[in-house]
Amino acid sequence: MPSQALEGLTTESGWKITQRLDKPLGTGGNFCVRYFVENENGETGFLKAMNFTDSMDDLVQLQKNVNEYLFECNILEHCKTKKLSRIVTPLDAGEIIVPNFPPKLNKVYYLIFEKAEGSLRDQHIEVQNKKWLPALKALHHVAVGIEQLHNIDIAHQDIKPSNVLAFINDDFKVADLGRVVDKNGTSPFCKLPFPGDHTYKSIEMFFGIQDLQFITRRSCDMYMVGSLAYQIVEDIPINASVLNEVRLIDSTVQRRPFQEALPFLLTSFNTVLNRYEDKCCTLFGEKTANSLTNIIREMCHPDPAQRGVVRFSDEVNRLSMRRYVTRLANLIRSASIAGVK
Amino acid sequence: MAELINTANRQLIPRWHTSRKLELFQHLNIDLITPDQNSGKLFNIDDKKNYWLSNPTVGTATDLFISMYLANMWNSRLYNELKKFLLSRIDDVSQSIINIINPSLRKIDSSIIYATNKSDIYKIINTLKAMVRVYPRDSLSWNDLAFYYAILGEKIKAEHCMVISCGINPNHPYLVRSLARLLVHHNEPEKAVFVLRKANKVTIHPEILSADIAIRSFFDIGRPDVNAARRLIKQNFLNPFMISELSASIGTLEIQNGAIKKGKKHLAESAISPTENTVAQLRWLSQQHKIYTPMETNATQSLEARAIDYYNDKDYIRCRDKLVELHEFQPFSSQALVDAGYISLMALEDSKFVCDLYQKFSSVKSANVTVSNNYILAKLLIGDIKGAEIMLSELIDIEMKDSDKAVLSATIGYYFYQIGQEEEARRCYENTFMYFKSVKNSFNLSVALLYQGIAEKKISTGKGNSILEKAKLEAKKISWKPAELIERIDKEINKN
Repeated sequence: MPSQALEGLTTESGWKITQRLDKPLGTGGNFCVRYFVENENGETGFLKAMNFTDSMDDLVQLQKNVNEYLFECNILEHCKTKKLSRIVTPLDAGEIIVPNFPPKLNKVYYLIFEKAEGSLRDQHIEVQNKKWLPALKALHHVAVGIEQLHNIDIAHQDIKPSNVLAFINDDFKVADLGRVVDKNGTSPFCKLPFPGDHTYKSIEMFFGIQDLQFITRRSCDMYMVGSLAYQIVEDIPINASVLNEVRLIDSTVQRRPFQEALPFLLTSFNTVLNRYEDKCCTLFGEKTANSLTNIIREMCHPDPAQRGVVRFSDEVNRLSMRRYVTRLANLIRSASIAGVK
Repeated sequence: MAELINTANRQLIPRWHTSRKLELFQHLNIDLITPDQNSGKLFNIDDKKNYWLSNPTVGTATDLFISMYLANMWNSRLYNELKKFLLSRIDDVSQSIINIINPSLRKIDSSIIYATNKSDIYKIINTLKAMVRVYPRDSLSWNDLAFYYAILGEKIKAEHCMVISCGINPNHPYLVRSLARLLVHHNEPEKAVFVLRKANKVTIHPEILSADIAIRSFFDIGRPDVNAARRLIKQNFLNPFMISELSASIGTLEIQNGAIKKGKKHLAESAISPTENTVAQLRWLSQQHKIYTPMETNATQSLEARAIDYYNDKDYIRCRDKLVELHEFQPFSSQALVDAGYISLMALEDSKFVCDLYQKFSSVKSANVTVSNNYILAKLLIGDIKGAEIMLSELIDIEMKDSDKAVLSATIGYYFYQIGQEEEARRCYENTFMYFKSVKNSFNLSVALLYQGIAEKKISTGKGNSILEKAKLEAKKISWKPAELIERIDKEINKN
């Protein structure tokens, strides 16, 4: 396959493809092959080569993959134009001709991104000696990134630790805009209630609550940011803990409609957050623990109507990330004063 | 008197349990949630599996394990392998993951069923009060608080908490049923029906409708909405556990109205995924109406059903033990204690047990006059006249129903026999007989005659025996023929 034979080639813009990544970096990216690249100035990058060969037999799948690729390119270009500082945007994009393959099959489309040090997942969640201040910073940076996306009417829909990339100096950015949904409805995922990894979807979706409105997608993004805050301490998304607790309370709960399950979910959510707050107290001190727990309580509230800043009656303000960006910045400040490292 | 084990009319009045003890409802035959066909793709299971296989660490295992857990893939071999892998590295695994691998619910009430000790109940109440202070919109904690107040007999506080709970989630079947049960306990069945009707789901939710039908049928309030019930039962999308009590309610009504075939059909539906209450109802129907419903499983246990079984087998000691457990199961109600006291006094002639029982469950002593009455009678039977006098003086000022007054009057009569004031005693018994004759309650009349007969026999054998014969005559009028009562009367007649 041409997309797997790029090693040693150089793109028109001068990026030399040095090494193919054999082991997956994480999950996702079904139709791409990854490489390391470097240019004449010694800058290194990460190349994502689109692999359309596997879907050549299935025209519908091929069209779907091409649409998704083109949409991702457009969105990334849009983000680059808007100078979104907390979103990973491509350094270069284009096509490369691979020798030894017949014409028309020898074109490989690619995207080159800045090479990250790792992701929040392998830098924080999967390590034993955790550094808490960078993790809290990551949360803040993610909140900024999602706010930036929401401001240009894009919902990320796949916020998870492996999609938060770490760069030098504890700088974090949100990556993988491959599943985003835009307000204008041009996204190929507009008709999917949730295009991202279902492990991280908001809890009401586990009860079949589906809504294609853009504001609901923002609510879901907010939920996933809150869940990330839970996961950096507890190693698992909040859905898993709440559903585990609620199944213990009532074994019939997942057979019931969401509105009937809600009081049970709320009780379980409170229990889970109590434990979380206790753990955070030992790690960050009472003040930071309390602030962080309150942020999660608002962002991940099981009742979608109570999610966000409830004192705002209109949904747009209620589900705005702005207030959480400020609160997370204050939280990092108080944590560093309290000596959190 | 036997209020539970040998009652002439039983309906599926909803049980009330706290939100942390919902397992006591025993929804056991629920079909397991199976993973969706697309779950693997939606939860990126293949990618995560490959990643784990290429890099088998706690982190990658956790990622895959949690996705499989959320995708309901609990029965897969890989899921169990991951479980084992994570357990083998337990030191590196966070507590949240351990909670999922080894799930156990941390309970405020650590008793096997419910706490019945006053100090324990107050501790639980304090914990729940602290919880609702922090989370005032936690309707389940308000419900639990109401439950523990109800055990203590704090009527106003219990209702207040329950009203708050239902105010937060007005149409929630579990909460509305709990409030209705509390109102029935407080002898306000009309209000209970009003609460159920006010929940706008009454005709579309099987659990609310079953409570409505049961309360209406038991207390004869209006006409139960049988058509709505039949419509709901026919809907295939409802889970069998949700329609179990409704089917049993309708089945019971059909049987009571003579439509045996229709009734049996509904009862068979109720037995597919029965609740504990349904099992008790089916057992009661087999006892009272000789309608036997095969159960798909023996897994669902009912303390009430077991007590009925032991009673029918004349195994009164075990029956009494089950009744005591049944009281711990629904501790706000003292019906089971009344029955346990009755079985002790009538069938086992064990007055000491009644005294001990009363001491053990002292937190509910003010809740039911009949429990106190049994205790006073037990004290008189063991010769503790002073103790009985103290208890009687406590009861004098309490407001009570006419039937309770009549029962107490008989006990006061027995007290007068014990202290040698026969004329006063006979007057008291006369009042009791007048009341029970007027309400045509042969059972209570027979019991009162039995104890008067025992007391009179100590003065004059002939007069005593003639009263005992009257008692036997009355006992034979009772539709369910209480064997323990008839046997006891015979025994007293034959005593020299």
